[in-house]
Amino acid sequence: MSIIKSVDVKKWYGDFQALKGISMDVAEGEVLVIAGPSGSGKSTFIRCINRLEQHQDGQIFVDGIELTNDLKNIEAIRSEVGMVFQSFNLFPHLTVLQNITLAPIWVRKKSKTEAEEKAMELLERVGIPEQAEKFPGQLSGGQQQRVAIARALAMEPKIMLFDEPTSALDPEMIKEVLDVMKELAKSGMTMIVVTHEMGFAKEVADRVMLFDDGQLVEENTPDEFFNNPKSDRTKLFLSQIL
Amino acid sequence: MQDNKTLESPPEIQFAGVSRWLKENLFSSLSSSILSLLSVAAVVSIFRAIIGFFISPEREWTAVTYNLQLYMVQAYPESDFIRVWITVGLLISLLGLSWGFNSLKEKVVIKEWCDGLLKGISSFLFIILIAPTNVDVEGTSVEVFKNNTRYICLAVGIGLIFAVYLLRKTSPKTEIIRDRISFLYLSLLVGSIWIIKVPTVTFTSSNERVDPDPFLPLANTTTIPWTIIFGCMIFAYLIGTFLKAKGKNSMSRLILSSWVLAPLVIVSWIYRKPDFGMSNILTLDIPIAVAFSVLGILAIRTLNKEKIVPYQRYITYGMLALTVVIFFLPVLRQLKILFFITWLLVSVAPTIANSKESAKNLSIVWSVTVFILILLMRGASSESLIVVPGSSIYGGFTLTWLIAFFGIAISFPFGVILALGRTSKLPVIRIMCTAVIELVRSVPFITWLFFGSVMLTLFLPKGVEFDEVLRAIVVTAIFSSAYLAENVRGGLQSISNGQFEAADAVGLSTLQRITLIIMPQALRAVIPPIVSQVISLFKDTSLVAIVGLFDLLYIGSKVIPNQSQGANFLGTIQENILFCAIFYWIFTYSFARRSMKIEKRLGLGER
Repeated sequence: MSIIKSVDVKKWYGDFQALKGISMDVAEGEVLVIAGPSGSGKSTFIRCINRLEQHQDGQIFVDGIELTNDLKNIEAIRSEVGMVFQSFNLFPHLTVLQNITLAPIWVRKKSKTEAEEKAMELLERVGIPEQAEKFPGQLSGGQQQRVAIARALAMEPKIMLFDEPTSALDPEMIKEVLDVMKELAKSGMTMIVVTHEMGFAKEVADRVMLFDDGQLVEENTPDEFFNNPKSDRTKLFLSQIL
Repeated sequence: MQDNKTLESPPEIQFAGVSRWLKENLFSSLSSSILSLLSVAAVVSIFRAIIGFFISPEREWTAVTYNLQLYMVQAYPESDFIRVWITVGLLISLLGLSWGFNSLKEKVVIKEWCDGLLKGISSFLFIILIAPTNVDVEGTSVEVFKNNTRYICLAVGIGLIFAVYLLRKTSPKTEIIRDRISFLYLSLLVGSIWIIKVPTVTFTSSNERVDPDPFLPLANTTTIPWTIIFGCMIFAYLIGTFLKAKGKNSMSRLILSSWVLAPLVIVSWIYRKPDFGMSNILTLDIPIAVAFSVLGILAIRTLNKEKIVPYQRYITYGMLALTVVIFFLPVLRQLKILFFITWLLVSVAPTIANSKESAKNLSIVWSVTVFILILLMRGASSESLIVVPGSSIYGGFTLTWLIAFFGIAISFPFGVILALGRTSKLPVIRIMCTAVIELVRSVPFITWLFFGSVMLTLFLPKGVEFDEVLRAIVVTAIFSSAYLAENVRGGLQSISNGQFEAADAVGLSTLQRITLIIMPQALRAVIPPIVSQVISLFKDTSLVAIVGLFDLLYIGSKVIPNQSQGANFLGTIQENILFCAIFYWIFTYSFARRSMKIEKRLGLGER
């Protein structure tokens, strides 16, 4: 049973076609890594999945609901899909704890104490419970990204989307974020990860995809993808980044 | 890494002595020496001229001291002054309460405090030192500042400096709470009105002016009220700190709503002395209030029942239609307003009161609101028993702060709504808001004031009339909200797209996104322009004189310089204008200082 399904999704920015018909599906509990050069449409695609971008042709189903302009549908899907951004996008005027409890309180209508307990649990899980009362600006990049992961998890989503979560981090901090993501993958979360971290893909991914020029070039198991790629484009890509 | 090393502290900056400081800062090169000397000479001569102007015997400062009452309340009858004092006392006590509640208990090291004091005392000494002994009055030189007085002042000043210096030496690291220092200054100020004497005008029993003017305490009729009010303020401050210490955080909302309510209560009840009939309250107000609070509570309870939920929308529309119909019917104004807020309640209740607890809270808030509203409207719509010559019982500084306070308070929500409307994606709303902002901004304030006072009545339905002061407030608020909207829009544009996306991604609705994420950040970013706008609005209130209202500046520039009965103050315009300038300065400057602190405190979470 696939939890995300896209059929021939197309998207244009003005005259430029960013997605040229993407069809794919993700099973529940699967970890999918999307790789590809910049400008290949991989970020655009996962942003379409929770409708931060609108696709103009084709269909996307999330958890059986089709994404349309219906606001009710969009809000329902967004609370099922957590998203982690490249630039963290924490709310700078709220403390770490408030960042995490905000949506559970206002969207899920949880009580404050309940939300805070859950938030502390999540901070424990991402390894920074001692930072709860600080503001995002006082944390390092890696810590901020871990708070962002906790914030997304606080909504108890079925699916997590990661949009280049480590690209804005210092090399030293990449590992701490990846560790959290690995732990999350092992816990059985459905994840779509756009990343250049091929080590992560090798170790955790169930499937790896390569996007190029708005198209899905290759879809394979990590083993096959790295050791025995089908297309020449993948070979070229791997030779450049490995 | 730090373990095997002792922590190093930065080297203390040594004060290298006066001559070294002079050499480094004033006489480092030939050109800078010349510049320093020239500017010192300029400063000294300018200050001498200003001080000479102030203390010249030509200045009739009695025009100010004698007319302080006129400045504050204009023609308000003396028999009802207790109302004015209650007004002032209420506001200052509220100030004390919120000060105590919000105090950070910030501490100051004695050394820093003493440095500030030393600066203040030396400026005072500088002024005493350069004050001119003689000034020219119509060609002849008159002695205005005796050298003996100068020596005494200098001696006192030097003594003070020595005392402060000793304090600084003996316990430089001791900390004091900043609030206590402020209270010390305030108590000195209050004490001084008991002691300091200024020239005033008095009359003999046969109604002749006593010559020369006797020296009396600055405010011989106000010392006792001021002292009591100061006591109330300290008491309120202590209550505030006590509540904070007890952790009553819900008090912050109560204090905020008191700030909204207090001026309304003052205007409709305390200051006006409304002539309400008790029978009106018993037969009209109380039944209406009870009926509406029951209606509201019923609405809150039923709207979220499962059977009703599908019809919520129709109920809201029906209520809106009813409100519009009621608005055009010849019924009591109270009813019109109550129907309107009932419609507001019906439209927000389903989202706010979604749990039992919040439904209960909303019911309480609703009942209290209805009763307060009825009470305020009764006070505001009754005739005032206070009769003054001229059109309005509000005048002088009372009028100035009324217009400024309500102007700001009303323009704030409107400005935010206009800003949001202008950035909205819905074209009709966007065009409307843009049109309003551009129209209001592109016509001078004075024109709008004239419009409000002369032409507004032509546009309103027959029988609807506004008080002149209310019209001025409305015009000020609309004018100011257009500018505020542009400031807020600037703040909105400074929010990165990522914040919108993050808010969307966690599933917040549009309204939640605006109120919880975007607005707090946008407003924080535009505190400086908003503060300067508030300051300019405070000063612009002086323009209402143009439509016949007697504000502070008008009294200083036109009323007092034309007084010829009793004390003759004809032509004392310089003194009065100077007084007004200083008065405005005290308020705007302390406001600017305060906002700097708020900015610092709010900047906590910023990168």
